[in-house]
Amino acid sequence: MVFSSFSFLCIFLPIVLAVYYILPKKARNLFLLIASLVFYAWGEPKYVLLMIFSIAVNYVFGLLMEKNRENKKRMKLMLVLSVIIDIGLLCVFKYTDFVIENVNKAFGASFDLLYLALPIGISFYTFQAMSYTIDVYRGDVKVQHNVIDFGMYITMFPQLIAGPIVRYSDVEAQLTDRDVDAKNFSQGICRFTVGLGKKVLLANQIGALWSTIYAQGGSTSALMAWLGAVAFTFQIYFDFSGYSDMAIGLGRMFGFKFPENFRYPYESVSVTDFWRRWHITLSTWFKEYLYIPLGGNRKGKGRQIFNLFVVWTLTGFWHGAGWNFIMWGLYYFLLLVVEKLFLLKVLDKTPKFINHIYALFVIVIGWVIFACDDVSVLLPYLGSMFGANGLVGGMDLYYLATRAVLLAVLCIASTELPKKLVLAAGEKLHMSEKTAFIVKAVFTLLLLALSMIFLIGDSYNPFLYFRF
Amino acid sequence: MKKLYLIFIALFAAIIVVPSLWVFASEDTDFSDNENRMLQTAPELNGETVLSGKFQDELNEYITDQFPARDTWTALGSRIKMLAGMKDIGGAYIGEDGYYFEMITPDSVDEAKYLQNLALVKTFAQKYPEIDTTLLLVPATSTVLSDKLPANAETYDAAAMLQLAKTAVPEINIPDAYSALSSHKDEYIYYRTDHHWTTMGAKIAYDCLMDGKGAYKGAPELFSDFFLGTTYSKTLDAKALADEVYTVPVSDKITVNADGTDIPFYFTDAAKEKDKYKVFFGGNYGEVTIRGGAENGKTLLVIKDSFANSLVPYLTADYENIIMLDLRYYMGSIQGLMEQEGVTDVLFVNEMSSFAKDTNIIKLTF
Repeated sequence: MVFSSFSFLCIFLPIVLAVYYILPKKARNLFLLIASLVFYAWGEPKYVLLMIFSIAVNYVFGLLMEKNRENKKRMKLMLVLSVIIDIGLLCVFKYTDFVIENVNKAFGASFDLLYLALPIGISFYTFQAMSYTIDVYRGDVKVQHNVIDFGMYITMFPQLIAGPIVRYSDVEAQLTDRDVDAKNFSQGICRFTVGLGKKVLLANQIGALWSTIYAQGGSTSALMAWLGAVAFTFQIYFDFSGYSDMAIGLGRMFGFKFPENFRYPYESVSVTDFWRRWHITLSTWFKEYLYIPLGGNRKGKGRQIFNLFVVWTLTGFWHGAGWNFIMWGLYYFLLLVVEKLFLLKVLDKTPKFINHIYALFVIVIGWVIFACDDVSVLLPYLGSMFGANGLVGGMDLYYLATRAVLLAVLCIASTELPKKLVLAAGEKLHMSEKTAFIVKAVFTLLLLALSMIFLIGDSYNPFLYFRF
Repeated sequence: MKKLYLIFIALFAAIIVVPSLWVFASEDTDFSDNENRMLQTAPELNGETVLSGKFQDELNEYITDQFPARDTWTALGSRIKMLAGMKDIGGAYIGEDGYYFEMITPDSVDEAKYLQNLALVKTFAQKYPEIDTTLLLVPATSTVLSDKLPANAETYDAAAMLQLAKTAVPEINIPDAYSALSSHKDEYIYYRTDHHWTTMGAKIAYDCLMDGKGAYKGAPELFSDFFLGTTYSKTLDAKALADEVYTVPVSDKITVNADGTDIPFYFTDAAKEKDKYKVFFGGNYGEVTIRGGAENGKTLLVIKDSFANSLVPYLTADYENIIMLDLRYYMGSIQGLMEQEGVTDVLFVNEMSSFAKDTNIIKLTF
């Protein structure tokens, strides 16, 4: 079930919220666990078993590690086993066909593909589960004895299918002790609605343009190709950050405080900066559980570059079983190395707007690599961006003119400007807390209504993370 | 302050809950006139539908399709998009002078498939050398009225498509309906709110087809002055100007049979329906047989899409029998039919872009 659907918004959410708050506190975690399993089963009834298996494995290994706390070697073995099972599941369901396909291609073999449907969200919940076992091993978190609380953590429907990746340590205390008042709940509604609006009113609208342009397979004018690339750049941001906003908002309604996932990434002034602002919970995960354990930057330049290579290949591959994602990861590996070696020092001296243009340029090119899941389209598409089929022509001026307002809105909405303006206006007008809230409430309800109106009329409402 | 929060939460709840309660409590609508499709009605809930995911999908469709005042909201959504400068909504261009065009972009026309279908028509014609085969390629509204398209918007090049066909299959007679219609483009030859040509537009194609020697002499008569057609439905633009639908008188000796049932030539009940273009035979069927036209023993086989429906009335003055086949629905053997009916002439009537994606032309070989 996706958040931007009526079955979620008008049926699932109200029922779950109502029952949750009617139930006594003791029963709420169990109910959230059941509700989350229903949420998951909605689209993938069979894969619920996989999820339950994953819960059981990580729960049991947590207990086993506690039992063997005295024996470092055994503990390590437990950790390794649990990680192997977690990664194993991920590999089987996500990467098997990709490997078979490429083995067939490389060696002329003809192994049959498995055609396993990818369990939605498996990359997210597997990483969450691993954050638990690894932190238990490190002694950073206590072992969870209550299987309901643990299961609820793994399955929590708000961030189950598209993040943010909530580490166990982020919410450990909140599992048993969380409170919601009307204020928090209202804030949750506002945050959720902003996310819904981002997804339905912005991402879906501009995404339709990207689909149209991508369908032309890189045979367009440079203007059209750039328009498409920019369209996807906005689509992926507003879609993804919209989902994160919805998740954080929903979490808030149930009393959780999830970590932030995006911080105006298109305001970046370098690639290094970008990755501190984009999908923050994923980069943090890789940093904490892969980069630093590999030695990070403490073992010399050569080792650091190797570590970055491993981390970024896997980051790319995490996004999907396809060469385009691996290439996208390697692309960022190269850029980050170049920045670390010398470019950041140069950027320190150049004016900020030039750094900004540089960052946006490489980000947009990056998204083209990411978006071309048909790798044979990538080169023609990049070619058309640099004038292989002429600079202007076809319908590019039409699309530019008719989407100009939308593009302007997208530009402004991807910066911190609206937030700053609202804060400044509130101060200037000496708005009381009450007035400020009323303004925000009216805006939220209008945004909700508008999003629902667009959901009724629009057939274009894709879910982008089915490959993650 | 707390009271304010609670009011806000209640309003939020109302907005998300009332629509679904409404949908479950009220009677379902089965059909959407505007979209010309069946709507999702209450889904069936049982173990099988849940396990296959059918129930879940249908439940979502159900709320979407049965949403209270759905068309009003869709229209409002279109209005907002138009205010934001969008000129294409739901697959329709918002043109000048109240025209709504089907959005057929040049890249959406599959040239290879077009040539393939032309070759199939050629093979068919070569099988019957003694029979005259004509291919009437109908240009879409936007191609003839291209000066009414939004600025920089494009549609396929009908002149080039026509030339391509003439070069690819020189054996087939392909009248230049595009030039004929273009020279009348200031007249009311295409509907503003529907993708079809008007009865007057069809007459121009008829004259072009018969080289001006057609026997039809009647004049159009107003059937309805309130027709909002398919391209309007994509936008639901409240500012749309309704179209007029005309019919042309035909001999009262004519009988019509559609897929085995006798039907009137003009389906006058269409006046009460949304789709007034249905006045022509009441819509599309697999096989329509029209007998009792001109007493000359000639039998015309028309293989067609819906553009033919308003053209065929004129042809009754030139053929005694007309058999219309819509290959989307016709499942019989065409070759058998040719012999059985003693067909003397064959006419294909297809809009160019739909001909270029037609997957049923292959049935000519059956």
